[in-house]
Amino acid sequence: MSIPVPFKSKYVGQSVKRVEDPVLLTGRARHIDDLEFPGMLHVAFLRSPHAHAKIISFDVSAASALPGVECVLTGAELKEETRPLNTMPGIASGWSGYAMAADKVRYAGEAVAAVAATSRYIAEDAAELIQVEYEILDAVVDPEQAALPESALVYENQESNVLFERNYTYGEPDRAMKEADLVVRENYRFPRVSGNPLETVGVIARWDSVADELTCWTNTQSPGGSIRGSFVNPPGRDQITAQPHGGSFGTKMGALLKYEITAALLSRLCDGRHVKYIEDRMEHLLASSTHAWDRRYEAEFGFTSDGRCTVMKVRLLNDVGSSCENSAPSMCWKPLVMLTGPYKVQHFEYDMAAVVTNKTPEGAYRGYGVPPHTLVIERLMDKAAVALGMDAAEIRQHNFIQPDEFPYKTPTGTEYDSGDYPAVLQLALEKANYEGLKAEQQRRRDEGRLVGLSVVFGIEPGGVWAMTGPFRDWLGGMGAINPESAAISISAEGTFDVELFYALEGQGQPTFATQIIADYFGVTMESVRVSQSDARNPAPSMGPAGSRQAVVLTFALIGAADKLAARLIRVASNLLQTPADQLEIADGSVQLKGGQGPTLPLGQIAATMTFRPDLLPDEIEGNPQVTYTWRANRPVDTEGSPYLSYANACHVALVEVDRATGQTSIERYVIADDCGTRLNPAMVEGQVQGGVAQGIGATLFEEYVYDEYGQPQSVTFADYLMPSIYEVPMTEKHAFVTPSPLTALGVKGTGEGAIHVTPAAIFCAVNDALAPLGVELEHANAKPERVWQLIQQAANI
Amino acid sequence: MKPVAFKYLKPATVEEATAFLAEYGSEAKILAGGQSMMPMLSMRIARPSVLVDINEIAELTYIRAADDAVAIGSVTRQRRLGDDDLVAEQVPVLASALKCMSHPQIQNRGTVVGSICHGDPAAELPAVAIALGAELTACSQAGTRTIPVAEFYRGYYRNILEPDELVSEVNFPAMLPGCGWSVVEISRRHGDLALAGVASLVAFAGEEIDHVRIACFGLGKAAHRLVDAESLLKGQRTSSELFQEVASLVSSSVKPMDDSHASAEYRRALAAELTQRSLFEAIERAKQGAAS
Repeated sequence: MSIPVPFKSKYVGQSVKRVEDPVLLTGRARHIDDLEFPGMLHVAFLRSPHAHAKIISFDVSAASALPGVECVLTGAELKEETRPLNTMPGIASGWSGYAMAADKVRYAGEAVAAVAATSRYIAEDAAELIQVEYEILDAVVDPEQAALPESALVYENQESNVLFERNYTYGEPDRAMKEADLVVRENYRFPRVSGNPLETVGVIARWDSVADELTCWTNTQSPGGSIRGSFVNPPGRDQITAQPHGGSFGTKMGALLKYEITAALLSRLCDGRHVKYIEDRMEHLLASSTHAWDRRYEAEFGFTSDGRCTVMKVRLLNDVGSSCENSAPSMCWKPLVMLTGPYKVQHFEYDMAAVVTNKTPEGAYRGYGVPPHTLVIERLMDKAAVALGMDAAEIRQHNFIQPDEFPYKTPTGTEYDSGDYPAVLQLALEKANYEGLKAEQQRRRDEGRLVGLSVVFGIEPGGVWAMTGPFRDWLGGMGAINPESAAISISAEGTFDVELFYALEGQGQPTFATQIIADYFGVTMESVRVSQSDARNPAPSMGPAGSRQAVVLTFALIGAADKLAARLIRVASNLLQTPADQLEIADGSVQLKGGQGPTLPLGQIAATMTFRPDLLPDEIEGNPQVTYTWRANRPVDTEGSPYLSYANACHVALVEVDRATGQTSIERYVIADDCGTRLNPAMVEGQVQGGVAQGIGATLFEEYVYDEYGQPQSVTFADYLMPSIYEVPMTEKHAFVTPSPLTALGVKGTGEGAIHVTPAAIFCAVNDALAPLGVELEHANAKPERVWQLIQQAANI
Repeated sequence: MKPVAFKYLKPATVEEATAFLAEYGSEAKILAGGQSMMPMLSMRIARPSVLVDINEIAELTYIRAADDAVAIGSVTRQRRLGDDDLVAEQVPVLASALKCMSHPQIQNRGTVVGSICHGDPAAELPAVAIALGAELTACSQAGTRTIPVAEFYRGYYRNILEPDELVSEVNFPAMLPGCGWSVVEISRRHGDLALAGVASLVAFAGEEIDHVRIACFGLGKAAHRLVDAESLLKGQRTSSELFQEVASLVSSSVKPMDDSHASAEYRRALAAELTQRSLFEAIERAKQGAAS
């Protein structure tokens, strides 16, 4: 394929090795826990053993008296100095507590007091010595019970536990359902899961009262924030500095706030000493405010007798846990941008409700709510196919948006940029030898074995540029733009320094930035160095989120490169006494277009700017360094798509379920995906493989379990089961490329696609395996015992 | 996740170690490979005031032939079960057990004796040791004694060791010539502790089962032998009816527990399935052994 690039591509499109890996793999990246400061104190929290209880009293005398303890801060004391954690203005006010519980605890693991001591060991010893008297309340655990009027209240200032209810109706779903030849319906549950990066969250705070300044070093994935507004008596200014981090998956956004606030306050109370808190793994699993997608669905789809889906009704009940402190319930809204998936459906009703319960608060997770929605759509497509005697691939082909219909406006007003879904599906079927797999399945079914085959399809919204369209609703009607910036400078030696404005996270942005800039100026990758800006006032950046960096950073890089190139050419025009419009940049030099005549190395131009400004044209800024902030030139309107690109993928999975044990083994896993131009195919495949692992985790292994008292049962990695390399097959990946017409270089976001589609692939395959028994799995986590129960049920029918 | 403060002692000899144990008694815990102990310390589940680290006791690292047995010192790492010629020749069931066990990184550090002493009810080695009729050597300043692993456990994570005793060795009797073996389990992921597991040893005299040992793990408060199931099999010819009878006996006689991974009911079903799988595999091996 040819890449629609404005330069000769030598590196872009190649699987070059990642430039950031040597630092990461040799342990030289400076992660938050690597930072040491003189006199630094360490924090440990005392956490509630109860899911729901009033706090009657604190006694911290023994803890305070322990040698090495500098400060003990209770939730009650913190409340006097801080404001409640962020909620969702306009949607849900007054649905969060403080950074620590003050009057009552709302989930087991909620912090009630913090200790700052000279070591983490002493801090933990002291935390054990704090006495808290509780009055235990009835725990609100089941989300359906929580919504009932007689339920205990998680927030006494509210009338019920229902955080919000919204109904989005497009077309005439009731009429369409009535007119449908076939209606399929089912209830589904998605397990409570979360991201589990290698590195947990951490913060070091220093509140210098003399300078009236708060500095927080953190591993946040969202740069440029401020927490001043969290304090009753705020510091004059504050700065959040992000260190490179060991993965995020959404867990390093809002979840950090409560720890930043507590560490900052402790620093102020300890005369401005540095105060460090590093979340440990048990705290992450127990209380990190990052659990996601504890969802129940009731779904009903209508079809014509020839297999055309005419209407979808999806009702979502989201258990958000004990608060909406991370704005995480906004994950209910993301499916609105791809509500009908890859299918042409005009009638849709999306009914959502979110309830609070006494569980760990919800937080962002890679995919932001789309994976469960995709699972519901794909499973009902399968059910309809069975009812109509159609093949799973056939019913999808029958309903796809066609290649000539792009840009395609969905019922919610969002616009899919480009794609060729039939071709992507066809590619997956061919590479998987679908007909062969079907024959193999039949052969083994004849032996009485439970073999399942799935063909599923998913849409990945990518390159989030603004909070437009349906997203305005969860911002209370406001729109917002999410810009991204890049800075480039060139040295007298002709080498380039590129600065990004967010911390290294691991997806590989420094690598593709190096590829793009090297190609743009026609230099080697070794001549380009990418780093994180340490500017005191950095340029605007949203950082990695919403599958955006391949899209938005590419825009920012090319914008910055254009700006620098124009300046270099203008200077060269003066030096060469040649009109600028006859010059171009190639092979690290400015030359006459067409390649004839003298050339001027870019480094020499930079040297001129630095050492001989007298030779520069008057109107030019004599600085070989530019910063460019990209923003989409699109209206922030009530319609329109918050995402610029819509990647898509087809997954084909073959599984076998062990009849005796209910265990599922994955035998084949084939993926065809279209994320537009691939800046670095190996990095795309890495994103896909990682997303597959998390999708397999959610559907076969991972699940945060709570008992009837709201006690968490999954607080170590012995109980919250992350899939390992033994459980995740190396998938077969195939590329299909439809460049996006809306993005620089035709890229589409690709960070979340695989986790969108994999849960559906596994869930549909397991259900297909069980089909001969006449039983159906409704819980998306096909834990062996759950599947075994169904097999027993079938045996007893 | 930081341990409470403890005194750290690192004896160089068994004599020094037992002297420490005599001095500190039940306040002390022994640290061998640490693959269970370190997490328990970090989670403050174990809170010993003294930790006696035996890793530097050179005399406890060995695998050697004893009388019709293989003796393994208590600092010998689990990984050695997979690459030691003597083990492969005399007690090959141990290498099979290793394949079901944890990941290589854990096996490189975890010890054979440590796993047996820790006595996790879902661990493989205690059950295999019981099936083999293995014995532990416990020493203290008062002297040494021998304890059959089958008599070692007293309920959930409890054993009959005295506070001043150190297990210095486990002694695995060599398997009979022609003895088939099998270790099978169901775990959620590769390398996890088992939801349920069965180890069996079977030897034939002609067409009849002459020697049989079955032990299970994950199916009660500790690994244990299934004597009634063995009685049903001894002296019998193999048949699928017989195996089903044995399987349902095992299923109804074990007393598994409920946890968030599996109910007792499910574990009972696994027990029946695994008993059959284990017997099939052991018999297959016995027959191959006889044929070769």
